[in-house]
Amino acid sequence: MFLYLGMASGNALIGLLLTVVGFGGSLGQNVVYSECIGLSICGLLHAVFAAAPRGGRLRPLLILPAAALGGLVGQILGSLITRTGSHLVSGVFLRSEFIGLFFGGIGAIGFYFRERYWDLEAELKAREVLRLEAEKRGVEAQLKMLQAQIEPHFLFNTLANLAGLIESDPKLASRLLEALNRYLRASLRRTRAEGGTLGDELDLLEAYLEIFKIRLGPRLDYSISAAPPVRALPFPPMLLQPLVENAIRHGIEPQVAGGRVRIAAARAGGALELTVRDTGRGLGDPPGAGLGLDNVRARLAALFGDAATLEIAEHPEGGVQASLSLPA
Amino acid sequence: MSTALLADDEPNLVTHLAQRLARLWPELEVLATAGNGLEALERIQTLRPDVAFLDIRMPGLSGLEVAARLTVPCRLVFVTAYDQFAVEAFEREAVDYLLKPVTDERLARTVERLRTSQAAQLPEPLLARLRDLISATPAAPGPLRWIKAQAGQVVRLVGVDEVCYFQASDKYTTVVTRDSELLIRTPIKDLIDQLDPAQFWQIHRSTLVNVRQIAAARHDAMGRLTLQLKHRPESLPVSRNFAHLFRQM
Repeated sequence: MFLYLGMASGNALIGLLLTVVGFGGSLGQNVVYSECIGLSICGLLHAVFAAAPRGGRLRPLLILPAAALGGLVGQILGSLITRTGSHLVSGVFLRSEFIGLFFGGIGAIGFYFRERYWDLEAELKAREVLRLEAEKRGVEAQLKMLQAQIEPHFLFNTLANLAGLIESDPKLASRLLEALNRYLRASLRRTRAEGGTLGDELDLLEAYLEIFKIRLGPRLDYSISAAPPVRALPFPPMLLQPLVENAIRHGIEPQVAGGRVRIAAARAGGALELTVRDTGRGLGDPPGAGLGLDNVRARLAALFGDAATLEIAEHPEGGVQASLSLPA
Repeated sequence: MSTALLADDEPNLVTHLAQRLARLWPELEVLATAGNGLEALERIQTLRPDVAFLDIRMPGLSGLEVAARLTVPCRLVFVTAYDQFAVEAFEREAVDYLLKPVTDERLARTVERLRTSQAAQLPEPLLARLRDLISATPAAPGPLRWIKAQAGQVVRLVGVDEVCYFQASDKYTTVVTRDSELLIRTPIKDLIDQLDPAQFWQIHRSTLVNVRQIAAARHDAMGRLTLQLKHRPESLPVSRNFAHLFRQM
């Protein structure tokens, strides 16, 4: 709408200009002609832009013929309105057509580039949206990691134990408090920094298993074995911990008699081999439900590509063994 | 004189609950404690306490499963650390419950209620509802992500992303990964329903292929369509019925 209003005033200016430079005809005639020609060209261009696909090759090709046709239609309209029919056969016709084409062309090119500009702007915006979404996913993943690390069920049950032990066995209570303290500290440190060593991760897991040992009593036994040089290797967080949590939550806890969790880390060839073995209930049904293993594997793929493997199998003597192999 | 049974798989919590009950409700006699659901059920059935405090997450049977199997009258109080769904359900259905860590004030309120009201058993439909609520995983099951498959003597857990393709053989389905072949009992036609249809395409009566593992589709000299895989040397024939999947866009 505004476009056509702008066009109309532009056309009036052209008419005025033509009269001033001595094109011939009265001011009224020139303005009417200019309006008719200008608006016809604009209308036809609009039609072309609507019909030919955006970004296609047809569009720029159709612009000039549309402007020429618009000029012709405008002249016929103008001659009908101003009743100057002779105009059409005189030399004025060609000159008018030429002027119409000139201004129509300028308008069309302007129109075309404005549209290209809009397209580019839309593309930039789409890219920005994608970038922001990726960023959001990153933050969400980090948040999820933090939540996964300190599960509320774990925390509240541990606090309940603490509350009970303070009365009945203050010595054990202080051991539990100390282990919880170590666990929380290590968790926070591990989530904040991507760096850190296998030793850091094993310290965290030692605190975690110690807490469960106090909670479950004789139902849990655990061991962690890793030589000092292996402990010094860099190791990303949230790869080993979910495997140990699964061993406890899905292996030992649901089993009446409890069981044993053994973590072992060793360097073999160019790889760091880690195993988490439990003597618990085995792989459940449906398998893998809620184990957080998708997360572990996604992290492995992101960090090491094809160079890392995770294998989870039921052990022939019962329980589950998870084997993680990383380049080291 | 009222009697009680306390069940929790964490021994410290049983001891602590017993101590606090002794203070808050001196005339309550704790007949027995239990460390798992099976034990709890058996002791309630034989000892017939007036009240049972049942932890929800217990090995053997969950607290709710114990409740559902009881055939003797017993007033029940469920104890849980953090089960959002359970707590919402308990609130809504006005079932007695305690949240760990249990505060003295909350325990005193529960004791008060137990002392003043009649022994009652949970009605069966309510139990069923609670059980559904608590056993149900919050999210819908969704497509299969992991498969338990036999590799020689060992049962392995294989992520579906690792699978290159599934191939039906006599009684079994072979699960083919980059470097191994495993067996499962689920037939191809059942797998189709369980797997994500955007990730696994049936290309033959006996073959389901992981779309992400396809390297190329080729026509051989006879005009038959075969698939080359990214990480496997063999190529897979595509039967005529499924060739439309690979027609050029």
